[in-house]
Amino acid sequence: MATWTGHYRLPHDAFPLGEHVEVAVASNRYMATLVNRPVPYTIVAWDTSTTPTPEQEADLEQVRRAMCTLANVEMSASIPKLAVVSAGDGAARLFFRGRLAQGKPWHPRVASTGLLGLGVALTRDGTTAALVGGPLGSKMVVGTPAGLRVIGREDHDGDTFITLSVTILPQISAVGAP
Amino acid sequence: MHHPCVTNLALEDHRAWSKSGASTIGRDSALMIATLYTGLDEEKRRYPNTPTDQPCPSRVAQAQDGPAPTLVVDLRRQSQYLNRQDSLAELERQRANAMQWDPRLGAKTIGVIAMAQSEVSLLFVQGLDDGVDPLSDACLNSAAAAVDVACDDWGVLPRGRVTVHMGDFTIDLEPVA
Repeated sequence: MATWTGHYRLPHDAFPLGEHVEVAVASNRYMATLVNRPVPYTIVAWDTSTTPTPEQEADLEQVRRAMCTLANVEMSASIPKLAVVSAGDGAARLFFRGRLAQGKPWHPRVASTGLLGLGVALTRDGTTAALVGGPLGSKMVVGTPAGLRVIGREDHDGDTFITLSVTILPQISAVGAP
Repeated sequence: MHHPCVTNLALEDHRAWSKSGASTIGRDSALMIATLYTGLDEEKRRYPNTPTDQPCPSRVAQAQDGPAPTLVVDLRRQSQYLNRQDSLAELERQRANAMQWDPRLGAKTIGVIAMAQSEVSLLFVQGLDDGVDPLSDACLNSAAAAVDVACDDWGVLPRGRVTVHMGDFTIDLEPVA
């Protein structure tokens, strides 16, 4: 296995709708942040680490649609991604769960671009992620369906970077090879 | 050796990519790419493991947290594919072929478009059932898989800190010792 550490420069245009937006779906109210870098994500504040039920996901899909309408951004089955963030337990400051695409299961592990987006959100007070997990320091443990992951913040020469590690499994094979 | 006109077209195409934001690889890097395309024999000598026996060598790799393996395709030698639309078409063709071998390979396909010194330009296609999602243009798990393949399997990229360009997404990847 090989592990690579990513250093992602914090963009200056990551929050097209500001820190967060409150969206009402029927009698339910949701708080969500739209982060458009590195991959657009709608991050909704959630109250549990369990996978949303189909009924809850229907509400979340309405939230995603409302955010796209407000931001006037194009929407597809997978963009912006949908994620929920809730309080963590044990070593984890928060729990992060993302969905692969509309009509698809929730991610069985975690998308690294999702963790980067979470890191971006954590750098700004008032986002759903920051309201749940507090500000991002040099290291923050995040609970995910894949287990605990660590993201962090580095500041160099006036620039801020989000850091995280990606591990590559041993080579599988060339396509079609035995 | 490629015809000089092809090299110029390749370079101009890369500049067009840069201007369009599809790739943010710098001018110096583009010049280096031109150098690479005019010096294939030299590249072979420096990187004896470069897979030159196939038009578009491919490899399968998976990030620990990836939901599916990534099909990594080396598109660098195909100067005619440097046009973004043609590159996407070639990736979709390779994706369809790979799915016959393993349906999971339809999920994530990534092309290595160009590399120069410590920079690499990638093109990503995310599959959704039988089609692809044209709006998904970045996947860090797949990018790391492609860089790992380029370094350790193909031996075409020195193992070290590398700047990865993927659509308008740019990130530095550094190997952990």
